[in-house]
Amino acid sequence: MTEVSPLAPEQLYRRVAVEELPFETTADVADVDEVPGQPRALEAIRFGVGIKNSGYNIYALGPAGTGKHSVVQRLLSQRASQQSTPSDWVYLYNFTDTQRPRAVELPPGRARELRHDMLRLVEDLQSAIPSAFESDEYRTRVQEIEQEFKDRREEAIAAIQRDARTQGVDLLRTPSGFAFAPTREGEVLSPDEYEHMPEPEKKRVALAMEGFEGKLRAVIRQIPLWRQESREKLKTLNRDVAMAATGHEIGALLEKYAAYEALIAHLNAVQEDVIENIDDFRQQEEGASPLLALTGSHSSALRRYGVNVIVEQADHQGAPVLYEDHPTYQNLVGHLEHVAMMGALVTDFSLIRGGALHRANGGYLILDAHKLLMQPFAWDGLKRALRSRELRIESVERMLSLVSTASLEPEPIPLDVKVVLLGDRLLYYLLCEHDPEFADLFKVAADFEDSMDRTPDNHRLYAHFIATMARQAELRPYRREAVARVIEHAARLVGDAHKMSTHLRSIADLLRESDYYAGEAGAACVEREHVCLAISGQVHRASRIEERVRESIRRGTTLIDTDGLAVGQVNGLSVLQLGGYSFGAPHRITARVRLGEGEVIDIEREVELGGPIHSKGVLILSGWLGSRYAADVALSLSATLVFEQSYGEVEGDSASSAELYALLSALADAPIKQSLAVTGSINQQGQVQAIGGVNEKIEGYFDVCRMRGLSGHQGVLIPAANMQHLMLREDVIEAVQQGKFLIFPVETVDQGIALLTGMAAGETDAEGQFSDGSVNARVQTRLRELAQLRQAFAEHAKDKETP
Amino acid sequence: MNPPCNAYTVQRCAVAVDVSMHSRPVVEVAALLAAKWAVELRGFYVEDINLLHLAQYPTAREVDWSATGATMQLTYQRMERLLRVHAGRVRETVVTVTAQRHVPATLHVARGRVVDELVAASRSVDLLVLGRGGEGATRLGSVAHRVAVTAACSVMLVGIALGVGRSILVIYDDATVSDRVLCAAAHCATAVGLSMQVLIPCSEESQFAARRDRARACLFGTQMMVSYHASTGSEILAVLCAVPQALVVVAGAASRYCEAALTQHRGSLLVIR
Repeated sequence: MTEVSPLAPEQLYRRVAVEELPFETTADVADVDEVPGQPRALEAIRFGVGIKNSGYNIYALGPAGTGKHSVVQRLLSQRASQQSTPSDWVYLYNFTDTQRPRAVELPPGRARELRHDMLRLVEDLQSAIPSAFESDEYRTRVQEIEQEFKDRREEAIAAIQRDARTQGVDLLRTPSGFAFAPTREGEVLSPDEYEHMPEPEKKRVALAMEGFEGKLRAVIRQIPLWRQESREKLKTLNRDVAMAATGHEIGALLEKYAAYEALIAHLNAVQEDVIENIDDFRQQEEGASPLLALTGSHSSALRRYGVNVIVEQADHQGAPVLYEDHPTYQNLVGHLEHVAMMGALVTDFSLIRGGALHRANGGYLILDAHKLLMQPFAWDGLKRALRSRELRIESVERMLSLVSTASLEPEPIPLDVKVVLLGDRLLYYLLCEHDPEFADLFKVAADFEDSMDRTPDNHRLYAHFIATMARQAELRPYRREAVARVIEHAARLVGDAHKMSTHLRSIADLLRESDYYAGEAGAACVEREHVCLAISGQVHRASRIEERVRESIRRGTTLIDTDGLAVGQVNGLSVLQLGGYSFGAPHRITARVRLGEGEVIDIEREVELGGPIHSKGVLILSGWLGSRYAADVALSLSATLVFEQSYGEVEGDSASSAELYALLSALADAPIKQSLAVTGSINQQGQVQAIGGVNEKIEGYFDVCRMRGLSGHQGVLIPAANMQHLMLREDVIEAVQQGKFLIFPVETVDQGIALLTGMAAGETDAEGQFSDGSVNARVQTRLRELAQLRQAFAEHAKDKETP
Repeated sequence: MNPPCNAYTVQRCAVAVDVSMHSRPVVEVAALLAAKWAVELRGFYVEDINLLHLAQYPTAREVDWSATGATMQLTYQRMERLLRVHAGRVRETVVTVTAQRHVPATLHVARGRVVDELVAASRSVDLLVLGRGGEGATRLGSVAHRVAVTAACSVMLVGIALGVGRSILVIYDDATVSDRVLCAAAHCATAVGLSMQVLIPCSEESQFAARRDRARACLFGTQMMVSYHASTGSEILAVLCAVPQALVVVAGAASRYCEAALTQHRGSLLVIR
């Protein structure tokens, strides 16, 4: 077995060689367009943007803060600027089917012009039409028609009256009609006179009156027809006058928009409608009734000649690139607004509101996947639009059949848009798994990396990127030492000495905070020390809980020994993550053994505080224990393992090596050095495997030891595979340099137990026996003793059962 | 308001009112004048005795005007009831319109022959306002004609939809009441703010100048814009036909133009006595 030596200081931190950075400050460095470390994602986005077929929408997946949005926005903008500007879209009143407003496509910029023209047309008509109808000529013609009707009626009645008088009968107007009465010298006979009239005369008069009544009835029945004729004449007159009043204004527009067939049809329909509803314009002048004013019916009547501009590209060049920050169903696919009128909610074509898809039509729409899925019906609405390739504005209530009141069904607008969803990986994989339509509609995955390799070229690329960000944020120039420190911190962020974080938000935060400290110090450039200050500031602001944990250890509330020896007891290391900050802390792990039936009891699991991965680690170590030390005898122990003073859930297998060391110590009765702490998982071969958070774990134990005073014997056993991940703090490195703290890279359990106990682990000879006095030999001996003891107990029990 | 000249003043103003749709504008004109002159307005409604006579015939019937021309039996009780309904509607019209002008008003309901009752009422007032009558308004109604000719006071006949008129046209001839006609026209013109034109029938320039000077003297102090025109008799007849928008003011029975105005003019008319 090879002896393990502690790591040298230079193995604990991989510095950036400043000579790799060919500049003094970032002021000398050119800007860079490329986001570092994302070639795969960029390629995917370029592919997705370039391919025209439907369904090739893009899902940009990766953790938040990796610059997905800015990368996507920039690439799309570059592409969009080379594309043609898409059409304007307007909704117009449908005069033949009022429930289905017409969608009309216009060249970019014409929608606003059309709206202005139609507004002016209505204004012009509002003055031209009343003027035409106010003219003396018109009034005269109206009066002539009315007079004609009245004359006709009066003449018919007068004719009857004249005839009646010749027969000695007069026509009288009663409160509700007409009556005939006999007269003498122009006066109606009194009842007495009538009574004394000779009977033949009376009969003659009665007969005459009956005849005239018949004639009068015939005239009265004719009157509605005459009135109808009169109304028709008036209508024809109004139409002629209206045609004359509107012809010029609408004619000018027909000429202007002659190239647009849909508009020609609309303008002709407008003219017909204006003529049919000429009173809407005349009311302006004559004063609308109070009821009309209250209901707003008059203004809404004229509104139908307006233009509802849904999409207008007058101020844009190229295809639109839109980010919708609040992707509700309505904000995406548009909606119908309503206004309250006389206690009811009403709508019309002018209240149709376009959504982000309308504005992005012909271009690109960027959406946050999480926000989109959080909004009811928004995801379904987006998919429906992409699938059908048309935008159909439909209220959610109608869509769900919650209401069946009459509403609008605007004509759909053809949709040609590329949607880019931004989201995390989990969401992407969940959508792939559970939404069958997702794969059809979002065929392009742009997978953003969390990290990138640390190579001299990438260091320089990163420096360019830092320079760009600093300039964009108007920060001071960064000295190259400071840039190097930022890169080193980027490596620490991913916990890997050979990688750098691509989490741009964290780097941008660090740059701004470093600049702040440089400003406080009155420096013209940001120096390495300012970056260090910013990093320690971040740690200090987030480390309240960490300090409370350490204080608990200092005060003896949490029992952690950092010197001396103890059997079946070892310092394990764990990482706690709170918010965006993680830190390491030691935990006491103990093991106890007694005679049993071969079970290793993980107390954490028994009380359901151990996660599945932790339980897996314990099962692996018990398997390894049996196969190595008791392959030919029954494993006859009962062992218990516990994380002392742990009251929360324990997860991960990084403590499995520590648990095994505690168990071996207990079996071998070999005390373990409490000055050392352990991390690493084991496999069934007895190898120690890499774990996560190695830097935090080492620093966590170092802080506890330093608090009590560094003895020079204290240190941490880490998996050898984790050496490449070491990016430790400066103070830890200094302590190692001064020989006050030790870090051992361990490959096997034997190496670990030897370091912890100070005894030889022991190797097997040709007969499979461990060397005498070694830890392994003592473990094997103890297990055999336990097996014999168990066998003896079994035989004794059998004897007692036999009569 | 002081009258522009002393030859004509109105202290008692009356309006003849019925239930026709044209009655309300007549009441409005009367209320306007009463308000301007600050006098009480008396409403007169006559229940036509002829209708009551008719209703007493055993075979009395009426042909319904408002609906289908159906024939309905008439009785005295029904006729009385209908007349009471009419009186109620007339009262409502008078009260509503005069209240808007803050004019004190009364309504007198009489029963008899319409012309006789209105002529009787004209004896107790200075001005009687009534509608021209007749649906077509082209011809003066017979009742209006007879009242205008026989009333004891001045009579204003209001044309449908014309109100007082847009201007005032005075026929200033050699009638004995011609100064009174002029003053009455000025009185109305001042009250409703209309311009005034005076037609002077004459055959010679000197005659025109003399009458014009007399008219000017009569209107002295009124500060009104008045234009004077010399006209022959035939010209006056032509003008009467051509200006239905004007309120024609003419002397009553004493003037030879009165009958012409009554038969030819289709607008509002003021016959002065």
